[in-house]
Amino acid sequence: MSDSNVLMKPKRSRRKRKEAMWAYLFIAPVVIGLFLFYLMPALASFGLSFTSWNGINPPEFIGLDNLIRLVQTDSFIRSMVNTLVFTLVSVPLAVMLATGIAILLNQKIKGMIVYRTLYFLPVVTMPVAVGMVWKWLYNTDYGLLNYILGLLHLPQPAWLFNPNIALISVIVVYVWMTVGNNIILILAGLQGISETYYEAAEMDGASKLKQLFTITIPLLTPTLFFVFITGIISSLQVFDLIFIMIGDSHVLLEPLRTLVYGVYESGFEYSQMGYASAQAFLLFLMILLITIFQFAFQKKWVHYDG
Amino acid sequence: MGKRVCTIFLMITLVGILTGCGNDTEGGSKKTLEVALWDENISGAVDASIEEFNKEHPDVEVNVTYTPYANYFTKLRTSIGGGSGPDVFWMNGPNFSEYASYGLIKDLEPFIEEDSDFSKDAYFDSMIDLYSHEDHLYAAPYFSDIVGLFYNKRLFDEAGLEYPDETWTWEDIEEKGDILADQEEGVYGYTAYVVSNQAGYYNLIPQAGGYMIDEDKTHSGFNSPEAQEALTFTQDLIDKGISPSVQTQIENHPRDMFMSGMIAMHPEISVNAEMFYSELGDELGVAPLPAGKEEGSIAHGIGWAMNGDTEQEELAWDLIKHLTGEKGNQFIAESGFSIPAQESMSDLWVDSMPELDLQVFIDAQEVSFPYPVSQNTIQWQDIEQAEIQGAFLGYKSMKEALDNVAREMDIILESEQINE
Amino acid sequence: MNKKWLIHLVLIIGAVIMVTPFLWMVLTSLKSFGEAMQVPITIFPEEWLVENYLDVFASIDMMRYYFNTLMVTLGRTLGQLILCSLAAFAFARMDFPGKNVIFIVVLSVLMVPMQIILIPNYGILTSLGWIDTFYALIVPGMFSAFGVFLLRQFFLGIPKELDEAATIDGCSFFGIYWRIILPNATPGLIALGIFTVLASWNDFLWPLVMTNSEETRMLSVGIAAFQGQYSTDYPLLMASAVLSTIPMLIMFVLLQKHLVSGIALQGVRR
Repeated sequence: MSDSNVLMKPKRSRRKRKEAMWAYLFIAPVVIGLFLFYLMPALASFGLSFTSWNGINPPEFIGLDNLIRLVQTDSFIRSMVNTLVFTLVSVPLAVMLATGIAILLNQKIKGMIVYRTLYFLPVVTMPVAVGMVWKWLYNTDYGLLNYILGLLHLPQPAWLFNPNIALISVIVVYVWMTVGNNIILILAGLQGISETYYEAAEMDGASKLKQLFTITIPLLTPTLFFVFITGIISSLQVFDLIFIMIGDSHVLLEPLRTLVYGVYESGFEYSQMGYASAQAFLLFLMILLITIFQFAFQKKWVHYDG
Repeated sequence: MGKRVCTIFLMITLVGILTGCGNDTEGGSKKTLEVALWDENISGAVDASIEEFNKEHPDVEVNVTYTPYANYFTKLRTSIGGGSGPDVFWMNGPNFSEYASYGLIKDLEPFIEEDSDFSKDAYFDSMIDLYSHEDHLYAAPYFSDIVGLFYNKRLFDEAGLEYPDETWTWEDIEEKGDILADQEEGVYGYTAYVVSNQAGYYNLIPQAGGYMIDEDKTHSGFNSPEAQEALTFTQDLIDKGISPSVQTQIENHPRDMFMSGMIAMHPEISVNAEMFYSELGDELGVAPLPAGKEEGSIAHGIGWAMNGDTEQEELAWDLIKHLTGEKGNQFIAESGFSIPAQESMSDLWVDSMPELDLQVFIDAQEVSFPYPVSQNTIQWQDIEQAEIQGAFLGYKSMKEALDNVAREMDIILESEQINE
Repeated sequence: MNKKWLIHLVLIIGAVIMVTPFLWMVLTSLKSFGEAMQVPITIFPEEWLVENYLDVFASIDMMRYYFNTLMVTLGRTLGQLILCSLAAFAFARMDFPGKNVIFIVVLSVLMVPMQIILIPNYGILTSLGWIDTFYALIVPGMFSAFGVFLLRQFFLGIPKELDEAATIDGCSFFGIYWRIILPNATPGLIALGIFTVLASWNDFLWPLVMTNSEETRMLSVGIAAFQGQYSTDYPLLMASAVLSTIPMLIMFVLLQKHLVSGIALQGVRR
């Protein structure tokens, strides 16, 4: 640089200003786009949740009426419970399975590419298709699953029709469907861990198991943190799968009803946009609180830098 | 370095331009009419009517969009709510009142008054009634669908039974259905329809002397002894193994099972006649639905409605006239799709599949029950189906389910009264 | 040595569970409706009905859906890779007033449920005249809070010493982004690429609401239309499901190579 003999202070501030200018330039497209297509509409929807808007007549302000009606509605309470159960069971299950599989895949074993391809298969399958296939597998009379259980002389449950297990049936599909997603992320994280750590541990005579817990897992925590955050957010929003598996039969809906389904049903089937917006707002609040909670606790378990 | 930045932003712009191609040329002088419906099987008849329309209006471009039924009304509602939407589109019974009462679709009465070409008398009464809101027509009837009893001749021949005819009673259905059912072969005698209310208990309840909704649209009839009776009969047929269970009906649609020869007798709306015929051919037969205390079956149909905010109402009305006029009805009839809404054209439809006795559907029009509707039909129908199907699946007793339906439905009906 | 066998055993059991539904989809797609509804079940079709696939092609304009979906997928993916990596770099490595606030705002977008923004967006796109165009399908999908967050996490994992050294060498910010961060974040970029391609390919609700005509119809919407027509005709439904999956499968086989080279790149550290 030619200006090496300029006084320190102005140089630093000029550099800072230049840095800020470049940074704003870098973030501008994304920030503008997100504002226009995501934040602004979200705020508009937030406002609508205090109205009785039906998508046609101008919105009428009704204060907290929508919220009051919601907490008094059984199906809304059920959807809240279902959503929480769905998330609290499916995400930890999917992350644990994915971490295990990713660590195994990351060993230098034969046929690794073949395994990896197979585990990724559900990821490349369209959720619409996944829903259709599993609905068919779960078919009580003609489904493959009950056929296999029959061969083993095990009970053949009505997977989606028994209200006690319907949610579990869908959780199984969701885990099956998302585990490959998590594997992609965790594998990428594992590959980011430098060999040198293991070489050093190897020289210290640490066992493979000890390496797993002292090197792999700690260095993987930023990735795991990310997987948890995004996994929980998307599981709270699960819709396609449940929508397809219910099909057009409302009788299957009740045990599987989730918050997002309620938003869809009120807003798009019954055109109660205001009421639907109130539900979407509560969903948003739930996601926000869980995420804040996770960020608050990340220092306790997430390690950045080796 | 600046050069690289430029390259990147250039790429972004390029992506935008390349991928955003098309639809920019729309602003030309040519007028366009947007048309929306859900069933692509009818495209032949619709296209033919549009061709006729274009002979008179060569400067108007008509774009037809088919949206799957499952999303059709959602989409329509969103687009009209967003201030746009198609100019001319299909309407059905459950959604009609809501669209009409909110003014989402245009009152057609002013057009009819000034137009001698269009006479409400030409159409089946059931269709005019269905699409009238406060005695004003809001959708022009296109075709009618009414319930008849389809049967599989091969299964009857194998069982050595006579084919069903107009003399059959519900006892015959139960008796013969029992003979036709063959559990080992996975064959059922009859579809005690629950997944379709229109082809199922919507016929049985009025036949027993009851109703789904009263004439004032203020009370539900689902907790009546007649409704109980109709659904108990349905349950009996399922319990005896004559009909597939409700669970089987949900998992494997009876329509599909009938087409693959797994069900001998299947009540179904006339719209499916052509599909059944092309699948089963000579094996297919059709008879009137048996009568109960009262005779008749439920009538429904599709109408063409006009967007309440359309900017080209004259053109839109002319297109509707082409679709629902004599020529339009003729196209429908000849395609075999369903009964044209103009009574005088129905013979043409009967002739479209001469091997089938389609006349039973025309005769059924004489003794039809109105399709039950109120402003929020969809809302209570969802509850109705969930509750009644839930009872069949053993989640609760039928009595409890019907009481729930009636209670919830009455609440919805009451709120409709307040809204008015 | 026997430890390796144990790993293989576990992985094989897992692989069977992952693959069976897929195989069953293919096998069912080749059966007749009657055979699919048979007890006891047949594993392999008695007669391999390839016609089912022709039936699907005869019923819907599959080639157009493929093309449309491909265009949308490419547009969104390229857009996200470029725009999100730039923003992520700024958030991970640069200092500017309001950084934390803006980042939290970006993160909050991540938590906005898709359903909440749909109706207002319909209005926005209508006023832009974008409804039923490829703009509506592509442009909003080029911005992703998810992508920014994902790449930022990856960028944070790259040792700071690398760009500090580059700064001393007189490299500009864009130079650091281009020469240091991007090459070191290949796995992250590939991951974002995969996610975006998949999300675009599988997107359903958005194209359903924002497009009407056959000209802009995407595969998922087309398949759903098909399902509406053949409610429980499982062989045909499975055939359509297979057809919707095959392109992703091909893409994936191609991408496997990139993944492997990504690993190799990581292994050779400079």
